[in-house]
Amino acid sequence: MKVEEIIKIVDAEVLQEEGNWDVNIKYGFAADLLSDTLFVISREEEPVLLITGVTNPSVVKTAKILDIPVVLIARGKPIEASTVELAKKENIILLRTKYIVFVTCGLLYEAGLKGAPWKIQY
Amino acid sequence: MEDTILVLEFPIFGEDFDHLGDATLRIRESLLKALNTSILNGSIGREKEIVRKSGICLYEAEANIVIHAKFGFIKTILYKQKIVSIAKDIGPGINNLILALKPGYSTASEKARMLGFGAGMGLKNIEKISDFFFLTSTFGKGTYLLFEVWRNDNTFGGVKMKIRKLIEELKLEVLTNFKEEDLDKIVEKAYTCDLLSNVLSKAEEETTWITVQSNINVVGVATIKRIPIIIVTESNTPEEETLKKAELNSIIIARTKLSSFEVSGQLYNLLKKQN
Repeated sequence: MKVEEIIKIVDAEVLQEEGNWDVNIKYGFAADLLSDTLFVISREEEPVLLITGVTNPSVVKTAKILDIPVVLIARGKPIEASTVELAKKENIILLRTKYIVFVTCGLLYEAGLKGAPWKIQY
Repeated sequence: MEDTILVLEFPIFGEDFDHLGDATLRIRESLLKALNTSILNGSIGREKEIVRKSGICLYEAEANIVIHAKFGFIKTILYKQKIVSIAKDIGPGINNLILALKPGYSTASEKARMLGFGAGMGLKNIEKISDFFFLTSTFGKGTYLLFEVWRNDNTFGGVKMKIRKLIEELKLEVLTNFKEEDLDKIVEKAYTCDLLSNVLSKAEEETTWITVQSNINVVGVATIKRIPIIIVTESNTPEEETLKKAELNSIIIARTKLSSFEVSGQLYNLLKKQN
Protein backbone atom coordinates (compact mmCIF):
# COMPACT_ATOMS: atom_id res chain seq x y z
CA MET A 1 0.00 0.00 0.00
CA LYS A 2 1.36 3.39 -0.98
CA VAL A 3 1.64 6.25 1.50
CA GLU A 4 -0.90 8.30 -0.45
CA GLU A 5 -3.43 5.52 -0.07
CA ILE A 6 -2.89 5.34 3.69
CA ILE A 7 -3.44 9.09 3.92
CA LYS A 8 -6.70 8.81 1.99
CA ILE A 9 -8.02 5.87 3.99
CA VAL A 10 -7.51 7.33 7.47
CA ASP A 11 -7.89 10.96 6.41
CA ALA A 12 -4.39 11.72 7.68
CA GLU A 13 -2.46 14.96 7.63
CA VAL A 14 1.20 14.97 6.71
CA LEU A 15 3.35 16.32 9.53
CA GLN A 16 6.66 15.63 7.84
CA GLU A 17 6.95 14.81 4.18
CA GLU A 18 10.65 14.10 3.66
CA GLY A 19 11.05 10.41 2.99
CA ASN A 20 10.40 7.61 0.60
CA TRP A 21 6.94 8.01 -0.93
CA ASP A 22 7.48 5.14 -3.34
CA VAL A 23 7.69 2.57 -0.59
CA ASN A 24 5.08 -0.15 -0.76
CA ILE A 25 3.89 -0.76 2.81
CA LYS A 26 3.00 -4.36 3.35
CA TYR A 27 2.21 -4.69 7.05
CA GLY A 28 0.73 -2.62 9.84
CA PHE A 29 1.83 -2.72 13.45
CA ALA A 30 0.18 -0.80 16.27
CA ALA A 31 1.86 -0.23 19.62
CA ASP A 32 2.42 2.40 22.25
CA LEU A 33 5.27 0.49 23.78
CA LEU A 34 8.43 1.05 21.79
CA SER A 35 10.18 -1.84 23.45
CA ASP A 36 7.39 -4.14 22.25
CA THR A 37 7.85 -2.74 18.79
CA LEU A 38 11.58 -3.43 18.96
CA PHE A 39 10.87 -6.96 20.09
CA VAL A 40 8.32 -7.84 17.45
CA ILE A 41 9.69 -6.12 14.36
CA SER A 42 13.27 -7.10 15.07
CA ARG A 43 13.56 -9.52 12.20
CA GLU A 44 14.05 -8.69 8.57
CA GLU A 45 10.67 -7.74 7.18
CA GLU A 46 9.06 -5.91 4.34
CA PRO A 47 8.09 -2.29 4.97
CA VAL A 48 5.94 -1.84 8.07
CA LEU A 49 3.68 1.07 9.03
CA LEU A 50 3.94 1.92 12.72
CA ILE A 51 0.66 3.15 14.21
CA THR A 52 1.17 4.67 17.64
CA GLY A 53 0.14 7.21 20.23
CA VAL A 54 3.73 7.94 21.22
CA THR A 55 4.76 11.41 20.05
CA ASN A 56 8.24 12.01 21.48
CA PRO A 57 11.40 11.72 19.35
CA SER A 58 11.94 8.16 20.57
CA VAL A 59 9.29 7.03 18.14
CA VAL A 60 11.37 8.36 15.22
CA LYS A 61 14.53 6.78 16.58
CA THR A 62 12.72 3.47 16.94
CA ALA A 63 11.41 3.73 13.38
CA LYS A 64 14.88 4.54 12.06
CA ILE A 65 16.50 1.62 13.82
CA LEU A 66 13.84 -0.78 12.57
CA ASP A 67 13.83 0.62 9.00
CA ILE A 68 10.20 1.66 9.35
CA PRO A 69 9.61 4.27 6.63
CA VAL A 70 6.29 5.75 7.81
CA VAL A 71 4.89 6.51 11.28
CA LEU A 72 1.20 7.22 11.77
CA ILE A 73 0.26 9.05 14.96
CA ALA A 74 -3.26 8.19 16.07
CA ARG A 75 -5.87 10.00 18.15
CA GLY A 76 -4.88 13.34 16.60
CA LYS A 77 -2.31 13.83 19.31
CA PRO A 78 -0.29 17.02 19.41
CA ILE A 79 3.28 16.28 18.54
CA GLU A 80 6.56 17.75 19.77
CA ALA A 81 8.44 19.97 17.33
CA SER A 82 11.62 18.01 18.10
CA THR A 83 9.96 14.83 16.83
CA VAL A 84 9.09 16.43 13.49
CA GLU A 85 12.58 17.86 13.21
CA LEU A 86 14.20 14.50 13.82
CA ALA A 87 11.86 12.76 11.37
CA LYS A 88 12.92 15.28 8.74
CA LYS A 89 16.57 14.62 9.44
CA GLU A 90 16.10 10.85 9.40
CA ASN A 91 13.82 10.78 6.34
CA ILE A 92 10.83 9.25 8.04
CA ILE A 93 7.38 10.28 6.86
CA LEU A 94 5.17 11.37 9.77
CA LEU A 95 1.41 11.20 9.46
CA ARG A 96 -1.39 11.99 11.91
CA THR A 97 -4.96 10.81 11.97
CA LYS A 98 -7.84 11.82 14.23
CA TYR A 99 -9.08 8.25 14.49
CA ILE A 100 -8.24 6.13 17.53
CA VAL A 101 -5.78 3.26 17.08
CA PHE A 102 -8.53 0.64 16.88
CA VAL A 103 -10.43 2.41 14.11
CA THR A 104 -7.21 3.30 12.26
CA CYS A 105 -6.23 -0.36 12.22
CA GLY A 106 -9.71 -1.42 11.19
CA LEU A 107 -9.86 0.95 8.25
CA LEU A 108 -6.41 0.02 6.98
CA TYR A 109 -7.08 -3.68 7.43
CA GLU A 110 -10.30 -3.38 5.51
CA ALA A 111 -8.40 -1.66 2.72
CA GLY A 112 -5.97 -4.56 2.46
CA LEU A 113 -3.05 -3.75 4.75
CA LYS A 114 -2.01 -6.96 6.45
CA GLY A 115 -1.09 -7.67 10.00
CA ALA A 116 2.42 -9.01 10.34
CA PRO A 117 2.25 -12.75 9.84
CA TRP A 118 5.05 -13.76 12.17
CA LYS A 119 4.34 -15.55 15.41
CA ILE A 120 5.77 -14.14 18.57
CA GLN A 121 8.08 -16.38 20.55
CA TYR A 122 9.37 -15.60 24.00
CA MET B 1 43.58 -6.82 16.71
CA GLU B 2 44.39 -6.52 13.03
CA ASP B 3 40.85 -7.34 12.01
CA THR B 4 39.47 -4.26 13.74
CA ILE B 5 37.85 -1.82 11.33
CA LEU B 6 36.15 0.66 13.64
CA VAL B 7 35.80 1.43 17.35
CA LEU B 8 33.06 3.71 18.62
CA GLU B 9 32.32 4.69 22.18
CA PHE B 10 29.68 6.95 23.72
CA PRO B 11 28.93 7.96 27.31
CA ILE B 12 25.30 7.50 28.38
CA PHE B 13 23.75 9.42 31.25
CA GLY B 14 21.01 8.06 33.46
CA GLU B 15 17.61 9.76 33.19
CA ASP B 16 18.71 11.57 30.01
CA PHE B 17 15.59 10.58 28.10
CA ASP B 18 15.96 13.44 25.60
CA HIS B 19 19.08 11.90 24.14
CA LEU B 20 18.05 8.29 24.43
CA GLY B 21 18.88 6.65 21.12
CA ASP B 22 21.28 9.30 19.86
CA ALA B 23 24.33 7.16 20.51
CA THR B 24 22.69 4.21 18.79
CA LEU B 25 21.78 6.30 15.76
CA ARG B 26 25.32 7.60 15.48
CA ILE B 27 26.85 4.16 15.81
CA ARG B 28 24.36 2.87 13.26
CA GLU B 29 25.31 5.59 10.80
CA SER B 30 29.04 4.99 11.27
CA LEU B 31 28.63 1.25 10.84
CA LEU B 32 26.69 1.70 7.61
CA LYS B 33 29.33 4.07 6.29
CA ALA B 34 32.19 1.79 7.26
CA LEU B 35 30.54 -1.28 5.79
CA ASN B 36 29.63 0.52 2.60
CA THR B 37 33.15 1.67 2.01
CA SER B 38 34.74 -1.47 3.30
CA ILE B 39 36.56 -3.56 0.75
CA LEU B 40 35.07 -6.56 2.52
CA ASN B 41 31.69 -5.45 1.42
CA GLY B 42 29.48 -8.41 0.66
CA SER B 43 25.90 -7.95 -0.37
CA ILE B 44 24.24 -4.70 0.70
CA GLY B 45 21.19 -6.56 2.01
CA ARG B 46 23.28 -8.65 4.34
CA GLU B 47 25.17 -5.60 5.68
CA LYS B 48 21.92 -3.75 6.28
CA GLU B 49 20.56 -6.69 8.19
CA ILE B 50 23.50 -6.96 10.58
CA VAL B 51 23.48 -3.20 11.17
CA ARG B 52 19.77 -3.45 11.86
CA LYS B 53 20.29 -6.25 14.35
CA SER B 54 23.11 -4.36 16.08
CA GLY B 55 21.00 -1.20 16.14
CA ILE B 56 18.07 -2.82 17.87
CA CYS B 57 20.31 -4.42 20.50
CA LEU B 58 22.20 -1.16 21.08
CA TYR B 59 18.99 0.81 21.43
CA GLU B 60 17.71 -1.63 24.02
CA ALA B 61 21.03 -1.52 25.87
CA GLU B 62 21.12 2.27 25.76
CA ALA B 63 17.56 2.47 27.05
CA ASN B 64 18.49 0.19 29.93
CA ILE B 65 21.32 2.50 31.00
CA VAL B 66 19.17 5.65 30.73
CA ILE B 67 16.29 4.05 32.60
CA HIS B 68 18.17 2.27 35.35
CA ALA B 69 21.71 3.51 35.81
CA LYS B 70 23.43 6.73 36.82
CA PHE B 71 26.09 6.58 34.16
CA GLY B 72 27.47 4.17 31.64
CA PHE B 73 28.88 3.81 28.18
CA ILE B 74 28.27 1.82 25.08
CA LYS B 75 31.08 0.75 22.87
CA THR B 76 30.90 -0.91 19.50
CA ILE B 77 33.78 -2.54 17.70
CA LEU B 78 33.45 -3.54 14.09
CA TYR B 79 35.68 -6.47 13.24
CA LYS B 80 36.09 -8.13 9.90
CA GLN B 81 33.88 -10.99 11.02
CA LYS B 82 31.49 -9.49 13.54
CA ILE B 83 30.14 -6.47 15.39
CA VAL B 84 30.83 -6.60 19.11
CA SER B 85 29.06 -4.21 21.47
CA ILE B 86 29.55 -3.62 25.16
CA ALA B 87 27.19 -1.74 27.46
CA LYS B 88 28.64 -1.10 30.89
CA ASP B 89 27.18 1.02 33.63
CA ILE B 90 27.51 2.24 37.17
CA GLY B 91 24.03 1.55 38.30
CA PRO B 92 21.89 -0.36 40.69
CA GLY B 93 22.87 -3.67 39.13
CA ILE B 94 20.44 -6.47 38.56
CA ASN B 95 19.18 -8.28 41.61
CA ASN B 96 18.10 -11.39 39.79
CA LEU B 97 19.46 -12.11 36.32
CA ILE B 98 17.01 -14.88 35.59
CA LEU B 99 14.08 -12.63 36.46
CA ALA B 100 15.56 -9.82 34.37
CA LEU B 101 15.58 -12.08 31.32
CA LYS B 102 11.95 -13.02 31.80
CA PRO B 103 9.72 -11.38 29.17
CA GLY B 104 7.56 -8.67 30.67
CA TYR B 105 9.50 -8.32 33.90
CA SER B 106 10.51 -4.70 34.41
CA THR B 107 11.61 -2.39 37.16
CA ALA B 108 11.44 0.71 34.95
CA SER B 109 10.15 4.00 36.33
CA GLU B 110 6.81 5.55 35.50
CA LYS B 111 8.63 8.18 33.42
CA ALA B 112 10.29 5.53 31.27
CA ARG B 113 6.97 3.81 30.72
CA MET B 114 5.31 7.08 29.73
CA LEU B 115 7.87 7.46 26.99
CA GLY B 116 7.10 4.02 25.66
CA PHE B 117 9.90 2.07 27.30
CA GLY B 118 10.11 -0.40 30.13
CA ALA B 119 7.99 -3.22 28.78
CA GLY B 120 10.53 -5.65 30.17
CA MET B 121 11.58 -7.00 26.80
CA GLY B 122 14.96 -5.39 26.32
CA LEU B 123 17.40 -7.98 27.59
CA LYS B 124 15.32 -10.82 26.21
CA ASN B 125 15.29 -9.08 22.86
CA ILE B 126 19.05 -8.64 22.80
CA GLU B 127 19.48 -12.28 23.73
CA LYS B 128 17.10 -13.26 20.94
CA ILE B 129 18.65 -11.17 18.18
CA SER B 130 22.35 -11.39 18.89
CA ASP B 131 24.57 -14.29 17.97
CA PHE B 132 26.41 -14.17 21.28
CA PHE B 133 25.11 -12.71 24.52
CA PHE B 134 26.84 -12.26 27.84
CA LEU B 135 25.41 -10.51 30.88
CA THR B 136 26.85 -10.08 34.33
CA SER B 137 25.81 -7.79 37.12
CA THR B 138 26.70 -6.99 40.71
CA PHE B 139 23.72 -5.83 42.70
CA GLY B 140 24.40 -2.35 44.01
CA LYS B 141 27.34 -1.78 41.67
CA GLY B 142 26.61 -2.10 37.99
CA THR B 143 25.97 -4.18 34.94
CA TYR B 144 28.15 -5.41 32.10
CA LEU B 145 26.52 -6.57 28.92
CA LEU B 146 28.27 -7.85 25.82
CA PHE B 147 26.66 -8.98 22.62
CA GLU B 148 27.85 -9.88 19.17
CA VAL B 149 26.24 -9.85 15.76
CA TRP B 150 28.12 -11.99 13.31
CA ARG B 151 28.68 -11.25 9.68
CA ASN B 152 27.78 -14.42 7.86
CA ASP B 153 29.61 -13.73 4.69
CA ASN B 154 30.89 -16.57 2.63
CA THR B 155 34.50 -15.58 2.57
CA PHE B 156 35.79 -18.47 4.65
CA GLY B 157 35.22 -21.17 2.07
CA GLY B 158 32.14 -23.28 1.97
CA VAL B 159 28.63 -21.98 2.34
CA LYS B 160 26.73 -21.25 5.51
CA MET B 161 23.16 -22.30 5.47
CA LYS B 162 20.13 -21.70 7.63
CA ILE B 163 18.66 -24.78 9.23
CA ARG B 164 15.38 -23.93 7.51
CA LYS B 165 17.06 -24.31 4.13
CA LEU B 166 18.88 -27.46 5.13
CA ILE B 167 15.63 -29.14 6.18
CA GLU B 168 14.04 -28.09 2.93
CA GLU B 169 16.88 -29.19 0.69
CA LEU B 170 17.42 -32.57 2.33
CA LYS B 171 13.64 -33.11 2.60
CA LEU B 172 13.94 -33.93 6.29
CA GLU B 173 11.02 -34.78 8.55
CA VAL B 174 11.25 -32.63 11.68
CA LEU B 175 10.21 -34.54 14.77
CA THR B 176 10.61 -31.94 17.51
CA ASN B 177 8.62 -28.81 18.18
CA PHE B 178 10.80 -25.82 17.50
CA LYS B 179 10.91 -22.07 17.71
CA GLU B 180 11.16 -19.93 14.61
CA GLU B 181 14.58 -18.70 15.72
CA ASP B 182 15.90 -22.23 15.83
CA LEU B 183 15.32 -22.48 12.09
CA ASP B 184 17.30 -19.30 11.56
CA LYS B 185 20.43 -20.72 13.13
CA ILE B 186 23.28 -21.12 10.71
CA VAL B 187 25.16 -24.31 10.01
CA GLU B 188 28.23 -24.64 7.90
CA LYS B 189 29.68 -27.93 8.98
CA ALA B 190 28.52 -31.45 9.61
CA TYR B 191 29.84 -34.48 11.44
CA THR B 192 28.69 -38.01 10.77
CA CYS B 193 29.28 -40.48 13.57
CA ASP B 194 27.38 -43.02 15.66
CA LEU B 195 29.86 -43.23 18.51
CA LEU B 196 28.87 -40.70 21.13
CA SER B 197 32.31 -40.54 22.69
CA ASN B 198 33.81 -39.69 19.31
CA VAL B 199 31.36 -36.87 18.80
CA LEU B 200 32.11 -35.59 22.29
CA SER B 201 35.82 -35.50 21.72
CA LYS B 202 36.17 -34.76 18.02
CA ALA B 203 33.15 -32.98 16.58
CA GLU B 204 33.42 -29.22 16.32
CA GLU B 205 30.87 -27.15 18.22
CA GLU B 206 27.69 -25.99 16.49
CA THR B 207 27.97 -28.57 13.81
CA THR B 208 25.20 -30.59 12.17
CA TRP B 209 25.23 -34.12 13.49
CA ILE B 210 24.26 -37.04 11.32
CA THR B 211 23.73 -40.34 13.10
CA VAL B 212 21.68 -43.48 13.08
CA GLN B 213 21.39 -43.32 16.87
CA SER B 214 18.26 -41.90 18.45
CA ASN B 215 18.46 -42.63 22.17
CA ILE B 216 18.35 -39.93 24.83
CA ASN B 217 22.13 -39.76 25.29
CA VAL B 218 22.38 -38.28 21.83
CA VAL B 219 20.66 -35.15 23.14
CA GLY B 220 23.06 -34.96 26.06
CA VAL B 221 26.03 -34.96 23.72
CA ALA B 222 24.36 -32.46 21.38
CA THR B 223 23.70 -30.11 24.29
CA ILE B 224 27.31 -30.18 25.41
CA LYS B 225 28.59 -29.60 21.88
CA ARG B 226 25.94 -26.93 21.17
CA ILE B 227 24.72 -28.92 18.19
CA PRO B 228 21.60 -27.23 16.80
CA ILE B 229 20.30 -30.10 14.67
CA ILE B 230 20.57 -33.86 14.72
CA ILE B 231 19.72 -35.76 11.56
CA VAL B 232 18.59 -39.27 12.37
CA THR B 233 19.08 -41.55 9.41
CA GLU B 234 17.44 -44.74 8.11
CA SER B 235 14.04 -43.71 9.45
CA ASN B 236 14.90 -44.47 13.06
CA THR B 237 12.28 -43.30 15.53
CA PRO B 238 13.51 -41.57 18.67
CA GLU B 239 11.59 -42.09 21.89
CA GLU B 240 9.21 -39.45 23.19
CA GLU B 241 11.64 -38.75 26.04
CA THR B 242 14.46 -38.02 23.60
CA LEU B 243 12.35 -35.57 21.64
CA LYS B 244 11.19 -33.81 24.80
CA LYS B 245 14.71 -33.38 26.07
CA ALA B 246 15.79 -32.06 22.68
CA GLU B 247 12.99 -29.49 22.67
CA LEU B 248 13.99 -28.41 26.16
CA ASN B 249 17.49 -27.70 24.87
CA SER B 250 16.35 -26.05 21.60
CA ILE B 251 17.79 -28.88 19.56
CA ILE B 252 16.00 -29.92 16.40
CA ILE B 253 15.77 -33.62 15.64
CA ALA B 254 14.98 -34.38 12.02
CA ARG B 255 14.62 -37.71 10.32
CA THR B 256 15.43 -39.05 6.88
CA LYS B 257 14.87 -42.34 5.12
CA LEU B 258 18.34 -42.14 3.63
CA SER B 259 21.43 -43.75 5.07
CA SER B 260 24.12 -41.75 6.86
CA PHE B 261 26.30 -42.10 3.80
CA GLU B 262 23.73 -40.65 1.41
CA VAL B 263 22.72 -37.73 3.63
CA SER B 264 26.34 -36.91 4.29
CA GLY B 265 27.00 -36.86 0.58
CA GLN B 266 24.06 -34.61 -0.16
CA LEU B 267 24.83 -32.21 2.67
CA TYR B 268 28.49 -32.10 1.68
CA ASN B 269 27.51 -30.96 -1.76
CA LEU B 270 25.04 -28.40 -0.46
CA LEU B 271 27.61 -26.84 1.85
CA LYS B 272 30.26 -26.84 -0.84
CA LYS B 273 28.13 -25.17 -3.49
CA GLN B 274 29.32 -21.72 -4.42
CA ASN B 275 26.80 -18.90 -4.51
